Amino acid sequence: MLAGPSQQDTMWCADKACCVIEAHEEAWYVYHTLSGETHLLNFLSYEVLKLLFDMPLDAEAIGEHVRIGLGFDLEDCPLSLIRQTIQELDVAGFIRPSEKIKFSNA
Amino acid sequence: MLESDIDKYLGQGLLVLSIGNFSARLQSSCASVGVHLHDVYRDYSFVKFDHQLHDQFLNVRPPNLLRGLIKRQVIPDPGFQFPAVPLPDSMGALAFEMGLNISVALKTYNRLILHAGVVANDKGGVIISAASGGGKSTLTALLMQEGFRLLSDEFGIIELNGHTLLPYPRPVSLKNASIDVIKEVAGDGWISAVIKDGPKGNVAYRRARYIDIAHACETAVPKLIVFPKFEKGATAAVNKVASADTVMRLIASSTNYQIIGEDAFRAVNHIAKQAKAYEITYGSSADALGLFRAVAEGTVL
Repeated sequence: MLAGPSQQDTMWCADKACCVIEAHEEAWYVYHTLSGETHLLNFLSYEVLKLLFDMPLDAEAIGEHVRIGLGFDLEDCPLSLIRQTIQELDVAGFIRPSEKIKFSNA
Repeated sequence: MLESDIDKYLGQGLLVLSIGNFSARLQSSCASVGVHLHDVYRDYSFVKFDHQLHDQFLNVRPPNLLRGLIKRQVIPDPGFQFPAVPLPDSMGALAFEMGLNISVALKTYNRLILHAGVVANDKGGVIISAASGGGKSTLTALLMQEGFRLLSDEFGIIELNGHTLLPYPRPVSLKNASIDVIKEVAGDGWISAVIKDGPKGNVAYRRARYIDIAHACETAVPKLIVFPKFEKGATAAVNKVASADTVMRLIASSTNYQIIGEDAFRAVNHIAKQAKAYEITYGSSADALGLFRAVAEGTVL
């Protein structure tokens, strides 16, 4: 179940103060101080989390930064994969929408 | 302390057993518990309870009034509720060891507890982590014969400051075929009488040596982690375990990781990065020792 809304243009952010990170060969263990849970992140999840520590971004912008940072093209790292990673990080409680969402009846 | 005093204070719940930095207040009216203490714990320090702080409490007692009189049974009562199968009165030693183990595993809040055997020499500590039946205790007892001192058979106790291994040298629990294996290398005099047909088959205890008990306050830096895997007839094999995988395995083996939280996270990651880790698969004690020597040599132990 998602902790926050997941709209196409949602801006996501992450709080570094809530994460204790230990890097291993190609994996990162992250202890989430709010939930008390330990998570194992792969390079993509970690890259996304790292980006969101620095600034709020939407899925498309995250994808662009990740592709540049890791040297991937759109085929290697499609937007659907970024959205899936965002969803997993959201469920784990690492990230949240950075602004209030306006709801309308329309 | 005289055996008669041990019996008297044990019956009154006024007996305190000290093992290194740990102490347990003991109570039991079960004769086989007293016999176990006189035999397997003969080199340990006992004092009379005088309101001093102690880490654990254990009462080995009948489950109810009836079973204290007819077809006598005992259960370990560590002062908190947990499901314990009543054992025949003659198996008081099993109830005693099980009760102390449960108490350490579930009620230690200031140190990280791993389910593991631990030995050490002057160069560092070895954590032997395996599920029940994996050969943890057998390998621990074999390494005692190789010149390592016993830190613990059941628990890797990690200090949260410094991440060193804290000794808790209680007797090594040997089951079934491993009893004769260790008897052969250690000698009859170091093995207790066999308790037959217990919940896990036959059980005997390999006594801790005086040197293990005397050094029970000396911590060790973990240098090597071994994940033994005993398989009957298996070809000897050794595989290096990556640090990320080691973290996962150590967390799974901990009884209080979730309770300790962030400090436990830091401790397992520190140990996994600092120590080399190997999985060894073996079908005989000779293979186990051969594989251990090979990985220990690479770790400069």
